[in-house]
Amino acid sequence: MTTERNLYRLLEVAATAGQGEIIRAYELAKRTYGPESLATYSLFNANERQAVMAKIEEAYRTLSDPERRREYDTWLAAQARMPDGATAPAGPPTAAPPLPADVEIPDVLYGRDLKRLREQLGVSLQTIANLTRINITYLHHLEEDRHGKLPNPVFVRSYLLQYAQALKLDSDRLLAGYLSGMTANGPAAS
Amino acid sequence: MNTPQPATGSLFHDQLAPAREICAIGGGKGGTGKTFLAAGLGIALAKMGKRVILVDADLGCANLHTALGLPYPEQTLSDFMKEKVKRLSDVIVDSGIENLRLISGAQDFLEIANPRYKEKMRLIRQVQTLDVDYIILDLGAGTSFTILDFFLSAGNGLLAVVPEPGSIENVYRFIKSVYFRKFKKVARDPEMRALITQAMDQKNDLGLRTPHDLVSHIKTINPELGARLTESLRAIRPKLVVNQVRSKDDIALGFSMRSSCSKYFGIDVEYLGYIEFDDTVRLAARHKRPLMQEYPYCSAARCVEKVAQSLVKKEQLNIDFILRS
Repeated sequence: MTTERNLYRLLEVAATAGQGEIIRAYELAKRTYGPESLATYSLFNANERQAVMAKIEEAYRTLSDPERRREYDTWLAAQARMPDGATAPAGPPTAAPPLPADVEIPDVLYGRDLKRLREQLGVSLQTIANLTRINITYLHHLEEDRHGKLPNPVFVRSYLLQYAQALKLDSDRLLAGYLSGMTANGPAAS
Repeated sequence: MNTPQPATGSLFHDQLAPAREICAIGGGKGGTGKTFLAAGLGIALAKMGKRVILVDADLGCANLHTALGLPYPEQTLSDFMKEKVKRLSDVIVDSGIENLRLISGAQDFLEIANPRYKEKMRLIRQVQTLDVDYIILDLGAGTSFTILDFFLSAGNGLLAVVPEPGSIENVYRFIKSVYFRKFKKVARDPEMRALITQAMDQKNDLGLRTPHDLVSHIKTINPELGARLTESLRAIRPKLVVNQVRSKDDIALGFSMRSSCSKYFGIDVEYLGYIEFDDTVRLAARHKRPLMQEYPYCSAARCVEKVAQSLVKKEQLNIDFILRS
């Protein structure tokens, strides 16, 4: 659909964007090119919207993964140096590729740690709710350790995995940490 | 606050002649707040100490004077268009608000709504020579050539949209019309025309679905001409103002529209700001009083002020500011 090949321009973020900006841009793109969107239906038909979204997904997969992003940046910089400037994308990063905020997941973590990690990345709870389709009330319960108000543990595991994926954090580690926190009976609220 | 600071880094900037900014407000559909925005921005800029002239360019359906709480003035654009007066500056009237003056629109003549090319160019030329800081053109509804040319003649083309399908569709229709008006002007070059015909012929084979695809393809056939076409089309940088927002989703609409236009047309739309839905707007209109004077502290008036500030600072709305909170 769109002929844009530069992943940063596809996702509409700067080449220096941090992890949080990339997640937010992705969330906005999902809204913009989703089936309910008021902004796109009169310019693109359903197939075209899906095609745009597929490209955005691809851009997101690369740019939200630090390793793959570094590889892409290296490739992009090499492209820009090629003598036939015709297809060279403008504005490749000249400085070292930016790394996502330095986030470390503790062995045992509580709701407040989830919140801290999320805020460190600059992602709102609403953004996570939009990306995961998890009811925001449950996300609040998770972050405030209101274990009694959470549904069946099977769902809680799934929520935690999705929460981690939305933030592009190590989901196994985050799940294990939170479950340890639950059994350790730390700062659990009602 | 707005007085020049001679010892700052913007030294050279301040020494230059006052930069004259022309803003045209369009948007296709009627009732999306073009006149409201023109009056509001005019007053907000005047309060910031800028010298402003509002021009009611809604030829044939002028009512900007009412939005300012003024009776229909004796001198209007009609006198200029009919060449009763030589200079546009002869039909400027006071608005009763410091720093703000008005050129009221023509209401009388049918043919005035569709001026001939020469008349239109005379008006555009003279608008460009008015000696003030900001000129704000309130365009009418629709996508007539007159409206499109006024829009293209302004350095700042503002589009008023409300978060409703009809209004959004019409704003896109408006952008499309502006885009192709510009496109055709550039494409008069025979070489360019041949290229476009060639690309259009293979349109389906090449999978060219949007104007952006077409221009990208022309670039691959002839980089030099393609670059020229891109450059002139990129000069279209409409600034969106989303009016009557009632939710965060409504606010986010501006970002989504910006993204869609970038992917579809390959042009940069700026999201200048939004105006919250506010019942006092209707109240002020009922009293035939400008909102900014009648209810200066209401939420809509505050939003208009923010838009005016962004216009002056040449900034746009920051996506993080909305989505982060």
